[in-house]
Amino acid sequence: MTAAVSLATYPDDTLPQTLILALEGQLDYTNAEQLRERAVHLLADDHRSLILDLSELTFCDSTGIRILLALRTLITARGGSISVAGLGPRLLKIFQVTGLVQFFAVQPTRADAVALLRAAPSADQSPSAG
Amino acid sequence: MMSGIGHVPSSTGPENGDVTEETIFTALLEDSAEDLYENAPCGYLSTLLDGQIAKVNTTLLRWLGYTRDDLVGRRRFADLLTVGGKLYHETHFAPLLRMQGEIGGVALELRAADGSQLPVLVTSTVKNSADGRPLLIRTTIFDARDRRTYERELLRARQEADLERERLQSLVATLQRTLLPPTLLTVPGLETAAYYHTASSDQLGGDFYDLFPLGDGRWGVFLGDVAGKGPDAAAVTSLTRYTLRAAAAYDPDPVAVLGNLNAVLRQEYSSDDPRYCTVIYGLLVPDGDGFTATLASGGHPAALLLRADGTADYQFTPGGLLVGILPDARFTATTVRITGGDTLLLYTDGLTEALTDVAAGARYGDEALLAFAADLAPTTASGAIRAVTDLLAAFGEGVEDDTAALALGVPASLIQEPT
Repeated sequence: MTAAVSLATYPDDTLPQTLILALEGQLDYTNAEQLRERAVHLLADDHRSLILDLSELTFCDSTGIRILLALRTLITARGGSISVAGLGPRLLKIFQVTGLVQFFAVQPTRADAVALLRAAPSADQSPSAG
Repeated sequence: MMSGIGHVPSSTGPENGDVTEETIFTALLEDSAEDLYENAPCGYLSTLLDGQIAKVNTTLLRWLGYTRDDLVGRRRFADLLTVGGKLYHETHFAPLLRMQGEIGGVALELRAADGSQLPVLVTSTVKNSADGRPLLIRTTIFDARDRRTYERELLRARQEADLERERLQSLVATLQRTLLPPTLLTVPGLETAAYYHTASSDQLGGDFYDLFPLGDGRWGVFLGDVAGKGPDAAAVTSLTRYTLRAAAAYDPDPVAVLGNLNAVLRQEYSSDDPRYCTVIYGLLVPDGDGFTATLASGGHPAALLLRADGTADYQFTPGGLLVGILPDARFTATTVRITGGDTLLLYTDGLTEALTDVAAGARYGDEALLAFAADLAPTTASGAIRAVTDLLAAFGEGVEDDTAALALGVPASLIQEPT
């Protein structure tokens, strides 16, 4: 009965300070806290950017949104940035209704999000981030 | 070097000293056969086929506090049982023993001479003669006090766990009720109806709604969803509810009300543990044959207007942010008139996010809800809530989240019948 969500990392050699995570499944109150812990665990001290690939995330309830916002707070607190990629129509709708689109850099695909970070060297690779 | 029981000694057998010890052991064993019967760690009982006690060991006599003369030739096995045990013996034990020739591990209670009860486990076999005729019944009786105590403890633990769960559920239900109005107040010229569904009976839901007077015939109405579940989310729900009412009394303008709620949530919860909610807030002002409703939304799904003419539309309030997310969040309002036969439906996303096909993961969605509303219109507040209730019931297991719905309708009878 409970939903399942899985987490995969896609390290990119050209972006050592970027944590790239792909969420798959359904993110809801039964698994959101677990997901947050796992994501926080994966977030290293020198990570300055977080890319969340949500293309395989089929559902996200209000608790899930809290977790996405918590991750955003974590990365922005260290001067970093967060982008979400691959929002399906339903997730995009949730992001629009709640106004979350203003808080995340929304990219069509993970590749787009990666390309954008590569093009903006200040967001990554810089040895001394603000 | 091997030394095993049952190992036949070879010609290079053990020394003499060992032989002596072995003899003593054998003697002890042979000598104790009778003693073993009498003082075995279990009770032995032999009865005739009618149950008449023929032989009983000392252990059982000691347990029961009888002398041999009290029992042998005077009592039947069943006489030693409690009333319930007698009945069970008569209806199950004895017939099965006759049929099968043996019966084992039956839990019974014996009654001791002093009236106390001894829980035991009873095993009986029928001894037959050489030509197969049953002669007597041999019974062994094990003291089951430990086992019975263990079982009782298990049962008690389970009952306590059940009770705890019931207590928790009742507490959750009580708390849940404090987060919702017991009944909706009667608004003159408006029919109201509400529905609330909690997805879990032992977790507080995060959905809430209320309808309350603001003076001058104006009314405030809100419905929302606090992100998260459980006690922490419930505390936010409670704070949100009271803040919305207090803010509305201070300044009933919907945008101002949501702005105040946003400020309170930001103040109350630190950035370490921020709390958010989505809420739709409405100010209802009577205007002759209906109401003007000014709606503002903080990240909440748009209200549905089911019109008297049979059409239905979402009432969007674009740009409204999730409440509690930004220090200076902006909210926008939209105004809608509801007159005779119009119904305004507020709901939480438990409705649109309900699974219509659990296996395929298909969800209901905004388009389906709009079609459903258009189908339903024109309706009444109670008609809309009844339809939503039926819809959710049809989803069954697919309704994973809490769901609240509130309908406000201006009765059609207040205006002239359409021709």
